[in-house]
Amino acid sequence: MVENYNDVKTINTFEIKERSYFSILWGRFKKNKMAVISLYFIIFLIVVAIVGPLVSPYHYTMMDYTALYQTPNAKHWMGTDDGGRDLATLIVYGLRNALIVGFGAGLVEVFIGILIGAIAGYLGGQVDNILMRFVDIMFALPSFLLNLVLVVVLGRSLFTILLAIGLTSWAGMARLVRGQVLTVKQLEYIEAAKALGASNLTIILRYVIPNSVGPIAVALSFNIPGAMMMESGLSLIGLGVMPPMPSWGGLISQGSRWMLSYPHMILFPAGAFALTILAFTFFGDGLRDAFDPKTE
Amino acid sequence: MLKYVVKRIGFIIIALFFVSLITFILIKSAPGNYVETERLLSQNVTDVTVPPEVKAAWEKAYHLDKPAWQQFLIFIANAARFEFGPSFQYPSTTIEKIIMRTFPISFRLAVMAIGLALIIGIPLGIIAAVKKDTIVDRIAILLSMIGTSLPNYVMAVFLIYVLALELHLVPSIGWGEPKHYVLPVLSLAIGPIGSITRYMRASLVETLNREYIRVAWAKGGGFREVVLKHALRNSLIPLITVVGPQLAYLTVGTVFVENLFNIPGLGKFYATAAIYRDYPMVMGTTVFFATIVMLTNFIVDIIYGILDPRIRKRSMMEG
Repeated sequence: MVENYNDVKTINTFEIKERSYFSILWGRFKKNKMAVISLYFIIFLIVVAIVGPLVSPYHYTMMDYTALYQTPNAKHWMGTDDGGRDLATLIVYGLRNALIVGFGAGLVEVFIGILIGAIAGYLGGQVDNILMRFVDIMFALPSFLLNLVLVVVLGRSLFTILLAIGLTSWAGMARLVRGQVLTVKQLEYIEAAKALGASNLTIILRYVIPNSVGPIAVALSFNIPGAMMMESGLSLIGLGVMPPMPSWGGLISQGSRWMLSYPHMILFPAGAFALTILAFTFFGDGLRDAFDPKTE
Repeated sequence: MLKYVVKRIGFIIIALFFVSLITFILIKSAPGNYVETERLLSQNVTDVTVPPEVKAAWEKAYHLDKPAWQQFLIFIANAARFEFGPSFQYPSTTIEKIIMRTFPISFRLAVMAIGLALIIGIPLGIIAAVKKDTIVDRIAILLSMIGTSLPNYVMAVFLIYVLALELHLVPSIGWGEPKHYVLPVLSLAIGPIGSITRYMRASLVETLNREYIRVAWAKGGGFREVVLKHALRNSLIPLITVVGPQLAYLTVGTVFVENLFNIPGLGKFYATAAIYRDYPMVMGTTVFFATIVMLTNFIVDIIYGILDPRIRKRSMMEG
């Protein structure tokens, strides 16, 4: 049948690769170009946030009264602010703080959300009822209100801010995890595990949570930029991290005072912030489509 | 229907009670003392001790000499009658008067933003749906995605830069004249424009694939007949579930824009109260905002139920 030798060769070297779950996910994710670019951009941002402070010749507390309000130049890539501080350095520190708050608050939120959601969904009955009414109340409130009160009470360090944001934003996650638990609970292999004598904790940790990783990761990828926006918003109204520690919201608020004469002071932080938020949003979008091809 | 309304109002009251309780406990556990901080800040002295009789009189004025549970009950009883008493910062007026004076400004901003969002978002969504998968559609989707994901204060920065600094169309600062509304309202509207466009597009695309729409096309109906008369009707009612929460969110969300543009709305006062640890003001405004948000969502659900009988059945508003 085969007339050409080359064809035989191709057929012989062809092999069926077993694809892992991750490689299938990556295959689907890759199709969304914006999401892939965003992923690389997020990795770039993380590298900048780690390496930037180490290599920058400036520090966010370094004032230079001979170089106030400079527009971008060779010495100061993004210019300087009203205290002669290097704007690029301020933005890099702002990025570092935004990432710390974003990922930190995300962790707190996932932890509380899984805890409450899994307990409510798995135990059911009265426990479920009480926990979910509590979640309803948390959900009905704009998290910003409690956040603001919490920051006033806990103080204004990076850690307390991320804690406050995490503590006020877990309601959605708890609902999601509870829903997942209810779905997984009905599956037959859970029945089998129970029959084999697996404890509640084992079932939750070994079967329920791994089954919910997809939706949790997707929700998280949208909540990380949400936490960053909350952090910036708090800084913008004067309730973020204590100055001189830079935050994007604080830089925007500071820049707004000089906007008429020195627009670069507000455009660089606002631009960096916008790009970061968009990258996380596009990445989240891609991740959602990868985990759940139906939504496309 | 009546049973549903009673149930919802019951939930709102319970939720508000818990909100008050949580806020109260948090504030009680907060460090700092307003009299001493104020002395420290305003008089620039290091000795923060206040004469005991002054402190006692001050505490008495705010019921701070009573046990905590009594303070809480006093707050609840007064809040139910919309009385929050004087704040720390403004002892000569009451918090409810400040709210009555400043909230209309925030609310007006929010309503204008939602109105503008509807005027722009609905047609944009229709165009995107009709021109599905064309370049117009893609641009509309991308713009609405950017609009919904960026916070309104970042939008405000770019809008100020383009419209006020580069094009000199509107003033970037000031308050009191109609033209000062342009930039804040635009910045607030962009998020809702994004979500309304997205919703309208998704909903219309689905409806346009229905059989009765194909019949309408086949019968020779034009764009006006088919899209505007038949398809749009099905999409406009659920739109209220998109707009309602947006409105509720915006009445609180104006706080950032108010701070950026220096607008004397309630959000601005709220933030200032939090910075100065003016606890009665923080407490009163938090409960007020929470009430507004929950009432808005409640009213939206009721209207939705009245407009669409299917929802009424599903959400057990009946029976």
